[in-house]
Amino acid sequence: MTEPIQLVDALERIEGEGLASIEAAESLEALEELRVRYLGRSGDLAGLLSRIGQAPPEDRRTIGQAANTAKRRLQEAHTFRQAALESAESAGVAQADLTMPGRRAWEGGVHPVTRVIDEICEIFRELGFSKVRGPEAETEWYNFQALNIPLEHPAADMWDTFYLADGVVLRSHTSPVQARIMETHEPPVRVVVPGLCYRRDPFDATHAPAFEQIEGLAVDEGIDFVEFRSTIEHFVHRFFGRETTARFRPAYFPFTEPSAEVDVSCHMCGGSGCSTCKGTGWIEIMGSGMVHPAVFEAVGYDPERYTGYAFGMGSARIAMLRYGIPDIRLFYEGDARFLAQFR
Amino acid sequence: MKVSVNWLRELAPGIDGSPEDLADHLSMTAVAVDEVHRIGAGIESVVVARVEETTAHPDADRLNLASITVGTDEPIGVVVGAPVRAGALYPHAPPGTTLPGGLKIGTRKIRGQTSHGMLCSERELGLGWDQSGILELPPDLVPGEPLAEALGFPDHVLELDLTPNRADLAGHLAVARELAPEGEAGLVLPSFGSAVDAWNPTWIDGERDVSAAGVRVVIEDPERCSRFLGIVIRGVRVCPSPAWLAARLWALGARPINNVVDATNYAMHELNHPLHAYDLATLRGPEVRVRAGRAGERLRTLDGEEHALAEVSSVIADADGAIGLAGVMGGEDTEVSSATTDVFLECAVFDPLRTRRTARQAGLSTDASYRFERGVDRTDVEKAITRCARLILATAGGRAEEQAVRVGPLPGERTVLELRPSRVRQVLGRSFDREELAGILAPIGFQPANGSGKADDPPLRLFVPGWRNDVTREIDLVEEVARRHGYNRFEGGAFAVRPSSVPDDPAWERAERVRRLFVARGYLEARSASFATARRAGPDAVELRNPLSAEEARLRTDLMASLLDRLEYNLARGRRDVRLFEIGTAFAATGDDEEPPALPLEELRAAFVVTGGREPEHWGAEAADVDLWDLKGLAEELAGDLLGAGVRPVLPDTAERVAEAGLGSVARWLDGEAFELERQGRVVGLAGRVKNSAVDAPRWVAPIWGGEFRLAAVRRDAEAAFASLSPYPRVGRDLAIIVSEKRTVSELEEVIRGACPPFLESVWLFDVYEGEEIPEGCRSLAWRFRFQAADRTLTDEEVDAAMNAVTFALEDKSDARIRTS
Repeated sequence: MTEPIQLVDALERIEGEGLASIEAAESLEALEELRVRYLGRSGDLAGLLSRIGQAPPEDRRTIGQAANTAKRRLQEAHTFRQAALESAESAGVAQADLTMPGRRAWEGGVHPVTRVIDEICEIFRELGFSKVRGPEAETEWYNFQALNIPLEHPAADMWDTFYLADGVVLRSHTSPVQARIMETHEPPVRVVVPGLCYRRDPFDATHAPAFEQIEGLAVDEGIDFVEFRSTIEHFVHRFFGRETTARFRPAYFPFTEPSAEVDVSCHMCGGSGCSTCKGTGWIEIMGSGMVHPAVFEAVGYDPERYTGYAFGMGSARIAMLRYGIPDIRLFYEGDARFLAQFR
Repeated sequence: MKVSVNWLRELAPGIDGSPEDLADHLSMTAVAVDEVHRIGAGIESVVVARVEETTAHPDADRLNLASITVGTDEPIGVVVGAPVRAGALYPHAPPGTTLPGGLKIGTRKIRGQTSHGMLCSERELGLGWDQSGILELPPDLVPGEPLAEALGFPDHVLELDLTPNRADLAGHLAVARELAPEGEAGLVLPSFGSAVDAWNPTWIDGERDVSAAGVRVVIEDPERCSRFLGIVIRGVRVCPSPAWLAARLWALGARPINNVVDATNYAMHELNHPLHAYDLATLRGPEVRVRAGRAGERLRTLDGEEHALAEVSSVIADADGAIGLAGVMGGEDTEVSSATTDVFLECAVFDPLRTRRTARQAGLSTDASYRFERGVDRTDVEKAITRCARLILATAGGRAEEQAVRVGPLPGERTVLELRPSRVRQVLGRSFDREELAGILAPIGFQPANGSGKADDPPLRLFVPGWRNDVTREIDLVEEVARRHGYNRFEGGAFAVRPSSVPDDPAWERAERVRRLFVARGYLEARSASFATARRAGPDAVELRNPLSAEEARLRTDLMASLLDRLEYNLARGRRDVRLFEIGTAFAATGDDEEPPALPLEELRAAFVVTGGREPEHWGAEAADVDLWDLKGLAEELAGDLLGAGVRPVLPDTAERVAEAGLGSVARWLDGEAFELERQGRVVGLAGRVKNSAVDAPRWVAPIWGGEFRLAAVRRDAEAAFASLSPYPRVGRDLAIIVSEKRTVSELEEVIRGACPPFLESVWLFDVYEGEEIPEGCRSLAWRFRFQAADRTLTDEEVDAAMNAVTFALEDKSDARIRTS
């Protein structure tokens, strides 16, 4: 009756030895030797199990269970140790040249003018401006007369305009949207209007026949020149930085009065004069002013009750300033080397 | 517009500060000054020289030798390259001079003859552009005098960027008024000599037709000319102007011509009234009329150009025919020359619009037309013509006829405007009291007028000066107050957040969704002008009336037209992998001749183009180009979340419908590899392969794919909806069938979905096999199914039943057979 006991003892011994040596195995080769020795077809465990027939039938079940348990434990230990050794090996001895480049996907990019438009609109959004749009092909009425610009007048020469038909133009500024919005909405009105404008300027480094502008319009009771100035100044500080100052100069736009040209201190030289600011220390960024009462009259607002301001700036031009882009044509050529710089 | 600082200081002696200070002051209170030039710099050592005699250069045909003196008897020899006259005065640059252009003057031998310095042209002195000859100096200069000093140089010229409203600043007196600390009160007109300063004519008035001093003046068409004043001066001696007068004109970049013509230009630059002098002897009649041009009439203007006149033109005519373009330019036949003895001097008010049309018709833009188009002061024509006549008398002698012609209605009452201090406060946000307002406005000519206002908030009543015809309503006065006070002194307010009654246009949000998607998929955003060539634009394109070039003569009917241009640009630079997208406007003609003409149709679209590698080339994988299934995958992605649409191949029977969807030229898409994005029966987009013939592409180009869709079809963020997540386990099954090649996957999937219970979560094709073991004309298709119920754990029986139903349906409806193993 000693046989089963001996078998169980032998099992426990094999399991104990096996687990200890597997856990101590220092290489995958050594581990493989141990696997063959303990778990292989002619290994210790198999050899022991082949003797199970010698045991009394009533004990075979117990011994079988013990043997399976031992086998499972040894297999688990082997798997665990193998994983540990494999990761140690791959960490210690590089199989691949890790300086080789990784697998990449194509990178997209947002156009620099879009980035500037978004940033400008976001600043005004915080001040309650909504973002609207208007048609690029316009009637002469909205492009000129509704904005207090008489046709056949030197003032109309400020915009060299493309015509599509009698009375139909490609808008030469985003300002027509002012009139369209006021005709369809009651004050208070606060909108920014990004969009393409068209002028008969052939492409050169600083001109494009189609270019982006952002128009702004604010109309309410009690808006005055002081509020207009501080709002634009706020924008300048947000967009160009606190250290940038704004100045307002007299200007003429038929649809604003008083009209103002807004300059910012040159970000390149800080105001001392350089090639970017043509030595003046200032860079012109927008035309603006208080909405002319004639515009209110044209859209049916009471000019005695409502006041407001409007402004327009060239988004492409501002993108040139922001990124130091010397030639406006780069925006419209679609050169992937250029666009890929703006991820 | 140029103004001379020396001249401004003469008109307003109180003007103080450097030229740069004055430029800055003008820029900040009135009109932008683009540049400040220094005139007469670098010519300090140039002296006035008299040519004593000239002889031909012995060894050069085109050169002459001149013997000159510079105030002493000692003759100096110079070699000259252009003719000079003995007895006349010329500028001499002695050896050691460096001229403004950088030319260094020395003693040089020219073809064997020594030249001690040189005689200079206008351009070499920096006084103008003429380099055709040596500048003959005014005869009143003294040989040996330093030239710059004798001419009153150095001077500075301010380059004004005049706005259309402030054309009055084209005259020096008006600029001086803006700059003088005392304004109007600080202005003085320089004297031309007490004898002539005292001369005044007696006006002979008439509405349309006046004869005086032997000349008849008729305004045939008062719409073209509202006032016409004329003075006759007899016995003048026409000769070069004195140095001071010539210097004024040189400073402004104008060329002195003779004392009579220069006097008219001087008066124009001083008082902003264009004037014209006629040689009276050449005026037939003598008579001068303002009338419409006549078809067939021709006129040679002072610049030597011949013009065919039209009815739109305003002309000046004598008894025989046209002698000038009214308000634009005089005629050659009647110009003042050295032979002239009697002069008829004109100062008129020509209508802005008629002058503009006259100038446009003739293709001319002159100092005179510039001023008349913007409007001159109707109230001080007398002053301008009298002052010009005095200057002619002072420089050319002669005797002015006492009687002078004055045709047209006299200026009426001066315009009075009311300015309410409360309105100033409302618009500007700062209070000014009545005294402050008057103190700001009176110096620039807005003098108080009498009259009483309402009791509370009495307005100021102000005369509008004649030169400010841009000021027509109260708001114009408010602007005057703001600019004279200084825009940058309106400080202190806080920026405000206010409400807006206007909602956002949803197009911007849609554009942003599209932009995010394409950028994430590795596309670069392009922007294009909306123009297209005839080839790209398609037959429905809107044409421009006045395009810049044939390439920009039409508006694009689709964005692909622009993107293919951008693609070609990159291909031409050797770039094989191109991935671009654009969001913009496409245009289409409305097609009918409406009155008034309708605006063209406009639609915001998004489009993309892609060619080249599917991924950037990598050492670990075989390079593969973007193919049909990449394109379709992108189309499905766009159609799915973004558009809520389906993707369908464009088939012969649907091609026409797609072509009529108005998404631009369909001719560029390759048949058999195009898809429509369709929603509720409407084509909202197209995607597919672009024909190589549609692109100017190099041989090595990979297949070009693209697509375009309507931005309005893009779903808004708010349209996304949440579906609850099932907590119960998901069960997977695979199914492979063998089926005829004629059965499309989409119809088979329709069968599958039709047979499945609602707890089918997803099903997708994961394997396609043709070849061995598969019968001819068939293929093996395998789908993976995922089942999941929202409310319970599915049992094996339920799922088996579902798969059996699918199997049965496929066998029954599609003649499919289950593939085992």
